[in-house]
Amino acid sequence: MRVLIIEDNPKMAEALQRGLRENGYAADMCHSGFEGEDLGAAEEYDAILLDLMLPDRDGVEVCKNLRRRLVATPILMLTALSGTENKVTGLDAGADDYLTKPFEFEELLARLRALLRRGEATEGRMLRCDDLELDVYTRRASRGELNVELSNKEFALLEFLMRNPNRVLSRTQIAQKVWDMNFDPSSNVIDVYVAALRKKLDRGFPRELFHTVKGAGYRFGVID
Amino acid sequence: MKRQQHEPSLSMRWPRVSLRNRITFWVVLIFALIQTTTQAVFVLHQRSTVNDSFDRELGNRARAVADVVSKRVPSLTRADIGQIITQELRFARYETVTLSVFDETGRNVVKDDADGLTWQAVGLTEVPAGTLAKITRLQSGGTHASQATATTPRVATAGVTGMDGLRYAVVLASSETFVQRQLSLINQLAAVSSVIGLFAAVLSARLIAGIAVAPLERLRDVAQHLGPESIGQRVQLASDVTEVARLSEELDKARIRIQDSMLAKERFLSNVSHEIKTPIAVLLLESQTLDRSGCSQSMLRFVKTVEEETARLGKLVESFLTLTRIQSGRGPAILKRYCLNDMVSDSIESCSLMATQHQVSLKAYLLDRDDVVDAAVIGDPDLLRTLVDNLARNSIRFSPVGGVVEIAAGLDGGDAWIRLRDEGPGIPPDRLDTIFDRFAQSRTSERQGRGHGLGLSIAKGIAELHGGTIEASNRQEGGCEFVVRLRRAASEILPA
Repeated sequence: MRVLIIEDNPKMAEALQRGLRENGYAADMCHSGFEGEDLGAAEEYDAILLDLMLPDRDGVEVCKNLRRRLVATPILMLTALSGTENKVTGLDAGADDYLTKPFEFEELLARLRALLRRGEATEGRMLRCDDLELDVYTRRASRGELNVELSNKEFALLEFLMRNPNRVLSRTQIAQKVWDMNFDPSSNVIDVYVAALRKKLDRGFPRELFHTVKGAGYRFGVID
Repeated sequence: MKRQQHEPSLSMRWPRVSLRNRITFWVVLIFALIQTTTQAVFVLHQRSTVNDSFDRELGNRARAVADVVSKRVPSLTRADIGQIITQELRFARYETVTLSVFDETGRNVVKDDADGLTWQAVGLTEVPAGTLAKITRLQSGGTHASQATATTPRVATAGVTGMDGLRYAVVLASSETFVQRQLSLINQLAAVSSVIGLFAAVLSARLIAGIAVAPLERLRDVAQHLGPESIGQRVQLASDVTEVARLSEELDKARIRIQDSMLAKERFLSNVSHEIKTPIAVLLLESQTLDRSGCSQSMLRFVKTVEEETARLGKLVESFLTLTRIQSGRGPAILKRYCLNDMVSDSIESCSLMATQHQVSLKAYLLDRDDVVDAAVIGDPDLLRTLVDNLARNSIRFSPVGGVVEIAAGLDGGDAWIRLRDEGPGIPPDRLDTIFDRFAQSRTSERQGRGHGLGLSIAKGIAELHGGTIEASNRQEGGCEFVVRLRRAASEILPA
């Protein structure tokens, strides 16, 4: 697993690099947005850690440029700024996740694992199943004529389901992969989100895509 | 400071009276002064006019009567007098009229008129030659005289030459009933017009005051809505009144000055936060990624302390920044729809690592009824998540190993609620009231080192910022329960 660290604070970058290496990642680092864009586009990375405040350009800018250069590598933004607006602009620019400094290194590893799991699946901007399409960059889904806006969690769940079509997925699996945690078994979180997706994308269409498998979990896809 | 000291004494000297009342008072006062003066002049003028015209009329009558009398004197009887009065003095119908004729010696020459006026009674000293004399004094004596004096009498005299060539004085005395009636009518008219005038004055004063005060009231409305949350909106008061338009412009300039200083403060805070958080982040990362192999026992303890305290410091800084954000007095800076389910799910995700570390499992109940899955609140999603997150972290922190923290979302009429339950020791009853106070936690030693004591007060601050409430209670089964209530957003069809 190769990770690129774009961070202008050398101590921060070095500590990140050391920590990641100790955890079995190969980590490269660079200290400017310009360098970062070039490296990110030229080399194959599994994930990019991107600082929001860089000396030469804004992290958001770097993120946009990388996406413009069709780099699909998952990007985790790091910033010392807090507040929703920063977060939203970061995610709108194409970042996949966002972490506010200071953070627990464990937290960073957990987020990184989640991003890498998603990256493992086949790349590609558009996911398709029957007439349902999901744009991974814009996080918009469409089915037939219908365009649907998804919340972050709905998107993550749908993406996971679409990357694993026609497989029975247990609630535990879904919880681990999408929420990165184990819920207490009596929780209804997953059922509620599946129901929400059904309501938005399945209702009124001739072919059902979201199937409940009694006693096992869910299955996504066209069943002949 | 100085001004503050001055203000109370000023307000004591001038009791606060509404501008409307003050204007009304002065307008009515000025009006009353003008009206009183005008009316006094009017009444006096009318009185003298009435008096004069009555006297003139009486004189004319006396002269007319004198002509008739001159043809009859000296043989005049009471009957003649009665006849003359009936014929010549029509107004005798309204007034009591006495006609007396005296010779030069002052004797009443009317036969059988012993009761009539005497020379002395009318105060005549000589028979006027051809001119009319007005006698204002009438002395007592005689029935006619007493009738005439019932009211203040008016008397006109005329000198005549009788058939015998002697000079006689004709005295016509009249009561003043008519004049009095006229005068009282004038007085009444004056009184009525005073009342009407005063009424009109009050009305017009209210009208003027209303016109003067109206722009002030509108300005007050504008000023009322001028707060930190509306600081970005232009103060606009469309008015064709120069003073008001100018005041509105000045108000807007003041608003811009305040806004500038607020923005400067925010920029400063944001810079400070960045500058402080960066070294903390480095320190935390360094201590967490330190290679600990070959470290002595004491070294390990030191690193652990550094790591824990740095993490605490980081959270504390973040909390202070959140507090500044929620205490700026403005409503949430961002107003977005945030689904209740997402709110719970997002905060669960963000504290899942902590739950794992504490070996606490999370149980979540989201809204699952089809028609309410989309139920949302409006606010700053980041703050709202922090709200639930802080409560969840608090619950996890106090849960025993293997415990369960339950987070549920629900609706209650127009309210949305989120409820957290834990299996911890609960809150001591005497601290239920202070649990949301800042640093309430650090006062008790049992909780030392568990949190920084700002989480709950921040949670409360955020709830209140969004117009909601938060309550803490102990459960009978053990553990405690937190309930956050927020206003549910009107349902909205998501854009297709």
